Amino acid sequence: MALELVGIRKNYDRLEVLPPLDLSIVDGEFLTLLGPSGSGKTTVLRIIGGFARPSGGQLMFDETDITDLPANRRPFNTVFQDYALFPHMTVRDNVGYGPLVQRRDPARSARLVSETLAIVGLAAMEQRYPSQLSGGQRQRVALARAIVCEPKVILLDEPLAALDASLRRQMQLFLKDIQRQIKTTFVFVTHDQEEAITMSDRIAVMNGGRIEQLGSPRDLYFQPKTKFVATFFGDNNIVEGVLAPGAGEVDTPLGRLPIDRRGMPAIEGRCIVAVRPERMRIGGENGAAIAGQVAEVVFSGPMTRILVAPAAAPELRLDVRLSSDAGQPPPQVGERVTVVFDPSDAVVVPG
Amino acid sequence: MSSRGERIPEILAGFLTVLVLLVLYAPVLVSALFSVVTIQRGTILWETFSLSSYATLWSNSSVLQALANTAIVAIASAAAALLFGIALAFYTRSENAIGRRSIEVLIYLPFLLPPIVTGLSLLVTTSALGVGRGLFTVIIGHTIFVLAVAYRLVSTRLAALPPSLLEASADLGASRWQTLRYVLLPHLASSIVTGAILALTLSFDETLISTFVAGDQMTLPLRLWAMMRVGFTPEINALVTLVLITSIALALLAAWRLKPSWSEADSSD
Repeated sequence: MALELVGIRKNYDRLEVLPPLDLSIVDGEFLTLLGPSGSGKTTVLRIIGGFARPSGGQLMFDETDITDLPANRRPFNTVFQDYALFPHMTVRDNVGYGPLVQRRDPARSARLVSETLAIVGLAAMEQRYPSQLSGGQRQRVALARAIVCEPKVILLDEPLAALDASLRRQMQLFLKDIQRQIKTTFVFVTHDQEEAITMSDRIAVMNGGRIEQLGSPRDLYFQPKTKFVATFFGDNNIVEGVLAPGAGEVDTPLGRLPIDRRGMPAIEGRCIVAVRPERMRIGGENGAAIAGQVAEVVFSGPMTRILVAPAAAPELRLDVRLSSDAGQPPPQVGERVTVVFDPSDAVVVPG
Repeated sequence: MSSRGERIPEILAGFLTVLVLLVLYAPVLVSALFSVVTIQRGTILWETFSLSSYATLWSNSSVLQALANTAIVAIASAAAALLFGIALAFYTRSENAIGRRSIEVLIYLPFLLPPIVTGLSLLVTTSALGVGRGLFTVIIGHTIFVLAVAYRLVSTRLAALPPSLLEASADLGASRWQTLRYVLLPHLASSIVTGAILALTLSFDETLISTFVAGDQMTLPLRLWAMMRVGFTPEINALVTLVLITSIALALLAAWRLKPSWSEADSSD
């Protein structure tokens, strides 16, 4: 265990922003704290970085208590959301700042700075000032400035939020690649679930200061444990229902839906049934069937999205994704269809 | 396209502008003119043109002494005001500052109050404490007066510093002193220079506070005042002209540095 948060909590005056929280971050992993704004993810990152004092609990690093260690003596470095580059220093001086203030050997530092600038692809820009760089380049300087210090953990606070969509995707792959190269633990904060899925080894979904679920992107996507995770994480068909104890069916506005209880926690009473759009089909035999009428057909490249208004509850919309080259033309708007899904693809979580 | 009637306000405004400029600057020009030529019954005698009054001024040791005193006072009070201004700005801009508003009011008050209040109270205090009056007390008076300007400039610049820059510095391993040296002071440099110029300008022609606490020492404005009581000589005009040119030059420099575009330029050059 590299980094361990034990009962870490944070209050601002009487306001509790972080109820006691436990989290173990494994050496070398890419862990993402994912959540909407106000979920406490940035507070957790700031406590790890040493910029915010926890109101209680312990922060352990390699079995040493570092709760009271000031930021400048922690072996962690941060990539800030606004990059926080020093405007009066060149790219090279920005990257060389850490080794300079840590009084490392100048010759070795100079070499390290050059190598790091080469890794992030900014060797040609080392004499420029931050104001002369694009957003993506500033981002790279901020990353280089952190990794040149050879930290044990790199903390990234929504570092891609200010970039446009295509650059963001490019930087996601770049960050992942860098992380593989330097084999350092990354703790990444974002509110973008797609970004989290793309980059992370594990994701901690946060809501209201609590970790709702911690797991691999696949786990969170296909096996959400709470309503929040089921709704926050990717598109999902969600319907509320009531589950009788031990029953294999859920009473919902769409009728009785069969579910597969194997591997599912013992849930009863009010619940949520969630089925991923790509796990639903139009027509076909085996499985749960819901009759409805096609309300909209949206072509979006490889997938075609079909929205179906169920006959039992026409105000709801079922979201179905079909491969665009499935061989048969998609149904027409207004057509009566049956939406079918495999009960084992239905996820039931407490409502 | 506008008709004659509509243009009347414009013409009136133009006329008034010229009048105001004339009233403001004609005496200044006359004074400057008097320093190089003789004027008799409203007629300028060009043939009397000479710079001799400047030369006389230059050989007048009491004037030179006053000039040196003014320079000492201006530099010392500007330096002291900046030092205190920076320290106070660090305090009032810190997260845990207690009574930020009241401290700011206390800093700004001497600048807004009549200088006579500052001068008089300083006089009373020094005599009560038995402190001899001289350049040192003038420096104290000027420091109190120009502190407001130095503080204002530094604290405004400090407020523009993104807090993440200080966090980044600490994050990279810098101590508080290293952050001060490598991040804070370079960030404040432009406001410190501007503050110094403004403080020098204000101290250079400050007269009232000096009058109360200078003792037997003379600053340039005090010297000028003393000379005028004795008699009105071309030397006085020469001195006034010099004081004017210096003041205007400093003021223009400060105004140029205070242009809002400047803060953009300093990060990109």
